[in-house]
Amino acid sequence: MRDEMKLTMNAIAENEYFARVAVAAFSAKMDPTMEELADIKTAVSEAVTNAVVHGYDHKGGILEIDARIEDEWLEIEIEDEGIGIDDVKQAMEPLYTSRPEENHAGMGFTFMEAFMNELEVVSTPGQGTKVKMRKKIEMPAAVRRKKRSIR
Amino acid sequence: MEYRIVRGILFVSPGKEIDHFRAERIIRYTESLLRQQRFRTLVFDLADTVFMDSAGVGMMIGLYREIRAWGGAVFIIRMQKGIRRIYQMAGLQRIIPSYDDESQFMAAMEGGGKDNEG
Repeated sequence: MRDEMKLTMNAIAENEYFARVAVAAFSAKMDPTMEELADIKTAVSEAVTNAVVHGYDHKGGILEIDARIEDEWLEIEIEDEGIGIDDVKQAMEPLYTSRPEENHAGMGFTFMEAFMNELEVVSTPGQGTKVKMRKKIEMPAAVRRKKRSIR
Repeated sequence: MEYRIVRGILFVSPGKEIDHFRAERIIRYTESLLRQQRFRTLVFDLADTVFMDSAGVGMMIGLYREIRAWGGAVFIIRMQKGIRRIYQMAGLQRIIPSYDDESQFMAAMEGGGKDNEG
């Protein structure tokens, strides 16, 4: 199965909910478990929140979400044109936060990494950040057998 | 978001989804309540909460730090399975003990169970 969805929205806090629910709804055709759906929602929410808070410093800006299904793989790209990240490796360290005075756990990338199979962060200071995540949604064996017999 | 006060304990029901947008609001309201009335016990009642990301973790740690300033403590009751995963992954159990229901929590409070928690 192949499918793709593109969304462009304003990177504001109010859209965090919309973004994660939209990607979760798109992935529903892969028949994910409740836990996999929660994983996807959390990972998307973390990436979008990073764009809202760090990329655009709460001022809003263009946020592009590209979600693709390729057989058993769900690929999600979340891209902003914000300030970017100087040191991606440091930003991805558990508990690191660039804003210790705010109530941030510093666990955004940790959760993305934990809930998705693959995570790649590409950032250019002054130009923006792109987060690429992939997750394998395996069809239960019983469903796979049934689909084959229908064909 | 809902608040109730039972025997001097502030209970907060954060709502269905705790993300950055919701967490900021909950922090603001709860902080002002805590500062005004100096509650010594804050309880997150997560019965209705089905989603929480790292912003929710940040919210809990932030309010924990706030109430610790005058020796208070934070607890969670009625946490659902999906949220428990986040709770454990973030290591929140080290600072915010969790109880299955309110009566169990109240019994622990009365029996001094608070001191037995990690």
